[in-house]
Amino acid sequence: MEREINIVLEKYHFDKPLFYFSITTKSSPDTLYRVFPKEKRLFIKHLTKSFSDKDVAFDFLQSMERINDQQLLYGIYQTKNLDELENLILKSDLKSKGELYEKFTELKSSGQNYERLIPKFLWNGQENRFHNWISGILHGDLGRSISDGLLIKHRVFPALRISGLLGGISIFVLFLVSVPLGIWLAVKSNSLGRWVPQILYTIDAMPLFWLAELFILFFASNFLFQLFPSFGVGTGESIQFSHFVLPVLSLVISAMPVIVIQTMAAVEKQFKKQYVLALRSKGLENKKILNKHILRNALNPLITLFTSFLPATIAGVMIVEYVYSIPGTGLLLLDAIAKYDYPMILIIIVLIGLVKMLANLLADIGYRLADPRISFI
Amino acid sequence: MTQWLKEKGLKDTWCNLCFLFIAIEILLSIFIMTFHKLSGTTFSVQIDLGNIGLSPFSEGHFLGTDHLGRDVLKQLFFGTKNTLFLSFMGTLLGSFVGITFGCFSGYFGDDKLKIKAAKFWIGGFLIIGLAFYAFNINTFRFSVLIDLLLPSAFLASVSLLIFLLIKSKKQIPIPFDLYVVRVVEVYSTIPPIFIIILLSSILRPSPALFIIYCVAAMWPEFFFLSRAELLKTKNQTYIDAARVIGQRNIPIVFRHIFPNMFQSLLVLFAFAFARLLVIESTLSFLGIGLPAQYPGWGKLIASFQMNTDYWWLLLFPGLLIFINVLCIQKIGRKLREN
Repeated sequence: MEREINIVLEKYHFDKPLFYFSITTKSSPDTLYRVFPKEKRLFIKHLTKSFSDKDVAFDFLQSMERINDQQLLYGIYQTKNLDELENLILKSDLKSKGELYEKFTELKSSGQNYERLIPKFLWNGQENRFHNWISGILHGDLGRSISDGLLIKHRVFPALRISGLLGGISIFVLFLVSVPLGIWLAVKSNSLGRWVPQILYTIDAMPLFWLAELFILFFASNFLFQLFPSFGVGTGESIQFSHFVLPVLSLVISAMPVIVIQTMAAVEKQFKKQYVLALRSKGLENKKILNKHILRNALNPLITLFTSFLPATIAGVMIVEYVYSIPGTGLLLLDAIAKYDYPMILIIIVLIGLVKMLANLLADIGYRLADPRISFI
Repeated sequence: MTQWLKEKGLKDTWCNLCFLFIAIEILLSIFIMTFHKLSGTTFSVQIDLGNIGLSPFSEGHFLGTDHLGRDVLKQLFFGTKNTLFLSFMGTLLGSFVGITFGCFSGYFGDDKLKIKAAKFWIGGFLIIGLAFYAFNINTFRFSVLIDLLLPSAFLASVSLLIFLLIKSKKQIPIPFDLYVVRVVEVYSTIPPIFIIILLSSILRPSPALFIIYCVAAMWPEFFFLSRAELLKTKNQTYIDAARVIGQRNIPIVFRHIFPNMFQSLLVLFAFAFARLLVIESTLSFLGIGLPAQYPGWGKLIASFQMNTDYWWLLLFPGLLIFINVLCIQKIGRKLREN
């Protein structure tokens, strides 16, 4: 049993210290991190902190090894103070109770440990969990999931492919639809400007998950129409695009109002500028003013919008994946959280951070391309 | 109150309707909860396996029942407490934290916060020392002498020693702004909803804990806005005038600068509140939010997923979230227009 536990601990690097250094007290042993389970580790820490005589504490731990009752053992590990420990030992029906109690009284009579006031700095070197994790990531080894022991990269990258496809299609469709719509509304703002924003604000107030569920109710159940599938990405290995219709639709509709309104505001702001008046007085057509001059100038706020919008899309993709049971990263994250699978959660959160960083980089390049006056040097 | 509303430009028929709706909703839910408490039932919403999936407008259950026979209307009212109140508190506390940090960071900048060398070293030593000893208090065999008296005597004597040794009057600037902004920039790489998810994967939330998670997710927005607003007003002459007549730093920030940025903070508050409301109901829909004994609007929609025939489980809670968000956003937009 002990050997098997050790093999598992070694596999996940749990038998190593957490970080390059650790700050403890002088009383606690140097290799405490090797003790498993966690409850036992904490108990030993408490014991070594409390008693000055190390041999007596060691004797007590030795006699505790003989306890076969796991429930009692864990009860002892979780005791909060000495009285609780004494009660637990006295109440138990062990064979070696007398010996244990004898050791306990010996322990109780020993003095307080003053060494717990002195801080100690321990240098663990490169053999630690953080170093293992970060160097693994840099080498392309993302570690193993706790819940099923599989390599994380075998699960994350296929999921990432599906999520990327879903997010990519939705962002593409979203900008394809909303930016022209925003420009058109800005041009026609006199006649439509009153009630179109109101409708957009109303759509904006709908939560995405509700919208997605409404689509299921209306278009994928026997309530109204049964037009599209509402589950998964298709049979077998292939991805069928009919499965993507409702997810993309709900993502696009829930995100559209913000983009349309912002585009509208950006274009309208340019319309009021002096150079538009100058161009008009020169005799340029309105169409040319719009296409050649205004759109170029309105590009920067749109790029900002794109970057600030990407995190929302990631969250949206997660919600949509949950609603439509699409096996992407979002569903993987929710699954990992339900199973307390920390290595997996960490990798997915790091991926989300990376996407955001990439978006910021792209935006900076985009600013430079859209407006050559901007320089970063 | 009406005067205040008029000042903020909220005297408007639609706005009045929004306020009225939210007020009626809160009052009704408070009334029903007190009534429920007085009648002495133990569970907030009773499970009734005899009445599973009743459709709306049936007898005794105005909006029907869910897959465990719990009354939908009652769950909606109880959900008001858990969803609306929790997100309001989360936004409020988050705004406090964000505004405080934002004001300090914006006002003091990188070089304005100066303290004497002796104070600097004593402060640094005390923070590290207190953290170490507080973390290492032994509860297993507690002793007043070792765990409280000796550490405090040690910390006090070393601080005194530093005070006596360092005589220089040199002022050390603390680049508060730089550090805080860098930390928040890294922190806000993760979208707010993922911050709450991450935190609740470490420790499953109770209502109080959930508010703390919301604060952790919402404060960067308030931080950035209040910092930007403060940088705008910081260099105006009336601030210099206030300093000339001898005002101290903190009164300047809170008495002279803060009222100027209150309006834009109020706008952000309304939108952040609406956003957090959606995030909260999304999380309880995903099954990550509050545990099952706290009914919420999102949870009703989650139970629609189990059986898509129960359309009323989707429609009514969703409509309620939708109308609430609409009302709050309308108020926010009205505030922004002024």
